[in-house]
Amino acid sequence: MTDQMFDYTEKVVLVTGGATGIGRATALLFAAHGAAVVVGDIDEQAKCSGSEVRRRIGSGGLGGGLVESVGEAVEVGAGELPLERSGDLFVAAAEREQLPLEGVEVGEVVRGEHLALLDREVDLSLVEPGCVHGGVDEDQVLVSALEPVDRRLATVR
Amino acid sequence: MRDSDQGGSVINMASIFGQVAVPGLAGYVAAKHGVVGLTKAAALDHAADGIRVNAVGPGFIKKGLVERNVPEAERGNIAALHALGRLGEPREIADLVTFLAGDGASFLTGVYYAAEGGFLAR
Repeated sequence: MTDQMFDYTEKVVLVTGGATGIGRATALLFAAHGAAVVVGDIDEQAKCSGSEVRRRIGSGGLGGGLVESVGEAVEVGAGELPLERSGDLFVAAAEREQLPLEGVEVGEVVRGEHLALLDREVDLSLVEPGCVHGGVDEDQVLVSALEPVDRRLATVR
Repeated sequence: MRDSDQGGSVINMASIFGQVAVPGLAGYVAAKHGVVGLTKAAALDHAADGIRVNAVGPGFIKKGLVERNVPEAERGNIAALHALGRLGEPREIADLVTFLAGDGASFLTGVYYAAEGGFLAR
């Protein structure tokens, strides 16, 4: 086994069910290997705040070069979000200076209709205040979105 | 992943019960066998896109399902079902997943890989 086999610095990894157990361990390990990790979970434990997964990944200094506007990986679960249907994956994280998010406070989580924010095309009329994050890095704004998984992957890639 | 034209890797989470059955869990067994079948079918459907699809079959893992559903007093009995005599750690499954996702697994697709401490060898 070589280090190269586990080099994920130019990769994006999506982990479903990543708030606990095997998914959590997987998300953390990919992050340790340098991946930009996007984690989704419908579990109550994957609430907006206080998640160990988000805290640990958020402080891990991820590579994530493939997605310029995703500086760090976070996870947001269904717990504190007004889900229209369960099973959706959420998440995106972005460095604040890379997003035109006037009016959104650092540490605040907003809910958008689409994930265009990853392409720096945030339509604030579609973004509503969601839940407030504790423990979020000061240069991070967390944004969740409601979109089918496949479209999000296409956007992320 | 298809749109990116860069290929990719999908790892589905099956179970040892995607390979063998256990009394009283017909729904779970059927679902996990389905995951294995889906994995094979998806591997064929997306091979031309450079997307590999594999499945992982954990044995009993300490966290999650076992923690929620198995009383602590009974966990020793479940551990004994594995040749290694213990439950698995989440990290031990993550190790396999990070291998399968990477370049070291470039010729692997459509396959189910058990990671189960010798459960199936018994």
